[in-house]
Amino acid sequence: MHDSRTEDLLRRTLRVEAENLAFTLTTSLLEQRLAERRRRTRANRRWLAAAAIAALAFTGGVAALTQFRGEVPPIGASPSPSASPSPLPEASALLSGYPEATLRLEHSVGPATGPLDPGSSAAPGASITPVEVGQVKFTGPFVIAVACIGQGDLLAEVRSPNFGFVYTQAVAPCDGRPVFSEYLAAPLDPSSPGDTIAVTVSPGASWRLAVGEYPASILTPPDFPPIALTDGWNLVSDGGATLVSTKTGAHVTMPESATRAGVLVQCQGAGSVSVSITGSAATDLTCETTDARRVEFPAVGGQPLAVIATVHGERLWLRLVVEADGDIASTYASAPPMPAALAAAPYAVPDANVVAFGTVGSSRQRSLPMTNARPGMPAGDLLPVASFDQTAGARLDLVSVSTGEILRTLASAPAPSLIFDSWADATHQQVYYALGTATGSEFHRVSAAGTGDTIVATVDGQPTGFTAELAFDDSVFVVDACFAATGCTRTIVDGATGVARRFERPSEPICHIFGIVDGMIVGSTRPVCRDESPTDVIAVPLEGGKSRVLINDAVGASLDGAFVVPTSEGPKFVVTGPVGADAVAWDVLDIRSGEKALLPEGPAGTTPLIPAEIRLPDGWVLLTGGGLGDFPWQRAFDRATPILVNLVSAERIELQNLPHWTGNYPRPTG
Amino acid sequence: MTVEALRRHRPETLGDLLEAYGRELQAVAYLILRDRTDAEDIVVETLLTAFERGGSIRDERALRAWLIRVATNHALGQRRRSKRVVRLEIVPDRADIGDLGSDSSIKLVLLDGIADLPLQMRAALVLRYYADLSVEEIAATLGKSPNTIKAQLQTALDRLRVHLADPADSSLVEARHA
Repeated sequence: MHDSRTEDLLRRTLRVEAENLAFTLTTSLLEQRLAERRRRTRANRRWLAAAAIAALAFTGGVAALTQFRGEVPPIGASPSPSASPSPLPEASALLSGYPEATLRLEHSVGPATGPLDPGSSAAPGASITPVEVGQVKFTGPFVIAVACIGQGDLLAEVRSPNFGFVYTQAVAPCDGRPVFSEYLAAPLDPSSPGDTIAVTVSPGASWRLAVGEYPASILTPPDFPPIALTDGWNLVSDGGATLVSTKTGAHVTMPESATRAGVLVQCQGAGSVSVSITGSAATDLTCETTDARRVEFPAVGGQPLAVIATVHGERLWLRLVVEADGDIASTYASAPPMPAALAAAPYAVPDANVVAFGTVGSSRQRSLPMTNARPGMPAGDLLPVASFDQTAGARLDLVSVSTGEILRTLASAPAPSLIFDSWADATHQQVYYALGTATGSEFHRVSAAGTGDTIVATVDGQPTGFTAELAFDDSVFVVDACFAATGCTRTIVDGATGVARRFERPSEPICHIFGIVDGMIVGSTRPVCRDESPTDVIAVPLEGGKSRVLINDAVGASLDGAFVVPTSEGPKFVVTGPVGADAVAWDVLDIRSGEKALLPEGPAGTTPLIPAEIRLPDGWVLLTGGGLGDFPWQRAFDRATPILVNLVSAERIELQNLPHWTGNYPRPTG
Repeated sequence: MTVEALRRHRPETLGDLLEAYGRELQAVAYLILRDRTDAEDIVVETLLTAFERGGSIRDERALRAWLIRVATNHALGQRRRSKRVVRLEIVPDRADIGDLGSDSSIKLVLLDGIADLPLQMRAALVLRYYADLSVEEIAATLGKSPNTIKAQLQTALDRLRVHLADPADSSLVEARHA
C-alpha cells in the first residue's frame, strides 16, 4: 500500500472511530464536578494546614512546609502511606510467587524499611528522572516485579532500543506493596541486543526491582476440547485461545432476532475467571477442567454487547465463544425496482466464523456459521462453500442461496488436502472446484446433485504459474499452467458435456484470469507468478495464439480487484486508476479498442466505493463502500450505500436494501 | 472568545470549553486508551484544569494545543496509575482474507493494529493523524524530541502496514494466485 494511502486511511479510520463515539458530557456535570473538586481542595488545604502546624510544632521540619506548595499533586502521584509499610523484600525474593520465571535482572536502592531521611523524600514537583538499571535480552515472555517506599509512584519501563519506545511497564505506589506486570508475548524484537529497563521514582525512595523470564513454551496454547453450540443457537464470535493475566473480552453486536446471549468459556490454569456483560453480575468459574462452561445473559437484538472476562489469581488460557438464540441475519429496506436478472444475482462474503450471502435484489442477508469457510463464485441458487478442518479435512458444501440450507456435501478429502476455490455453473447445474493435495492440484467437475465427480485437469510439480476460471457464459472452464522446463498447457472443459481438451502453448504464464469472455482470456502475466515483478495485462485467444497487451508493466497491487465486465459494446476491463485522498478512481478499458474511460463516480464521500467481485448481467458493476458482509461483530458501519452502475448507459441504482451504514451505531460501554 | 472568557473566569466558560473542545478531547483520550469511561473522566479533568489554570493562555490555537497536551498526559497518567496494564481486547475484529478488499475490513484490521501499538506510540499516532498536531507540537506534548517522534511515527506506520498485510498472507491466497 502506498505511504500516503496508509496515512489517509489512518486519518479516516481515527475520525470515524471518533465520530462514532457517543458524547454525553454536559455543562451541569462539569459544574457539579468543579464544585466537588473545590470542596475536596478546601478540605485538603485544611488537612495540610493542620499537618503543617503539627509538623512545625513537633519537628520544626522545613519539609512539611513544602507540602503547601503542592495543592495539586503531580499527575500519577499517590498519597504517602498513612501507616508504616512492611519492609521491602530482597529484589530476588519478589519473584517467589512466580516459580516459572528465571531471574534475569535485580536492582535494589535504599534500606528495606524506607528512606533513611524522610526529609529527603520528594517534594511535589521535585525533579524526577528515569534511571537505567540494566539491559535484558529476552527470548520469551517475562514478568516485572517492583516495590518501593517513599513518595508517589515507581514506574518501571522496558524499552526496545531498535524501535526506540517503551512497550511494557509496571507502576507501583510507593507504599511497600509489590506490583507485578507480565508481558505475555513473544519478544517484541528478536534482534534486540538487549531491552533497556529504566525506573522513574521520587528521589529518596527505597525500591526493589526484579525481572524474571518465562520459558517460551508457556505461549503454546492448550488443546481445548471442541465446543458444541446449544441446539438452535448460532455462533456470534469465537476469540480462540488467549493467554490472559488480567482481563479480556469480546465486543459484538447481537443478531436482530436475538433475545439471549450464551457465553461458552474454556480455561486452563490455576486461577479462576469471572464472566459478565456490561451492567450484569459476574459469574465465577474455576479452571479445573477445560470443558466449556456456559453462562447465559439477556440480550437485545441489534444492540452491542460487551462480554468481559476477568482473571483472578495466576494467568490462564481462556477461550470465549459467544452464541445467540436468533438467526444471524440482517434486514434492510426494500429493494428499488430493477431488472429481474440483476435482482437475482447472488453474492457471498466470508468471515472467520460465518459465510454471509444474499442476492442483489434481496433485503435480507443470511449467514451460515462455518468456521474458516471460503465461498466460491455463486450462480443462480447455487453457492459452493469450501471449508477445512485439521481433523476432518477439506469439504465442499452446496448451499441454497434462497433458503440458506446446506443442500448437500459435494466433495470431501482428508487433511492436508484443501479445496481452495470453487465455481458454480448455473446453466449446466455443475460445480467446479480446485483441490490442493500434497503433490499438486486437481480440478474437479461435479453435478449440483452431487453425482459424477470427475477430475478435469491436474497441475503437478512446481509451476511458474497456474490459474483457473469459469467463462461468464458458463460455456467453458479453463485451467492454465506453465512450467519452466516444459512450457505451458491449457485445459478447456466444455461446460455442456464436461469433456476436457488439453493442449500445449508457448510459455507465457497466466497468473490470474480476470475473465473469460467472447473467446478471449483476459489475464495477468509475468515471468514467474510468485515473484513480485511488473505485470502485463493481456488478452489471449481461448484456443491459443498471440496475446495482446492491454496494460504494460502494471504494479501488481494496482490490479487487485480488477475484473472484466461483458457489455453490449464488448467486454470492458475495470482496473484501479489514480488514488486520491478520499477516493479511488477506477478506469474502464475497452478490451477491443483499448480506449479508456473513468468509471462514473457517485457523490463524494469519506468511503471510496469499490467494485464488488460478483457476476452481474452484462454491463453492470456493483460498487460498495466496504464489502457486502454484515457480521455480528463487524456491522456495516461507515459504509456508503451500494450502487449499481451500468457501464454503457451510465444508469445508476442505489441499493438501500444491501448492507450499508452512514450514521453512528451504538457502541458498548464498559 | 474562550481564551478571553478563561482570563475573566466567566461562569459560562465551562460550557464554552465543553462545546468547543469536549468532543475532540474525548476522542483523543479514547483513541489512546480505548476506554470511553476513562476518556470522559479525562475530558472533565482537562476542562476543569483549564478553567482553573488556563487564564494565562493568550491565543486560541495555543489553548487547543495546551488542552490536548493536558488530556494526553492525563491519558498516559491514567494508564500508568493502573497497577497492571489492562487491555480489553476486541477479539473478533479481524477481517477474513476474503473480505480484505473492503475498506471497512481494512479499517478494522487497522484499528486492531493501532490497539497493539505501545501506549506512547499510539498517543503520537493519534496526535498526528487525528488531532493533526505538528511533530514539534507532539514532541512538546509527550516530552520527547521531534526526532524521537518522527521515528515513532515512522515505526508505527511501518508496523501498521505489516499488520495490514499480515492477515491476508495465507496459503489459500497463495494457492489461488500461485
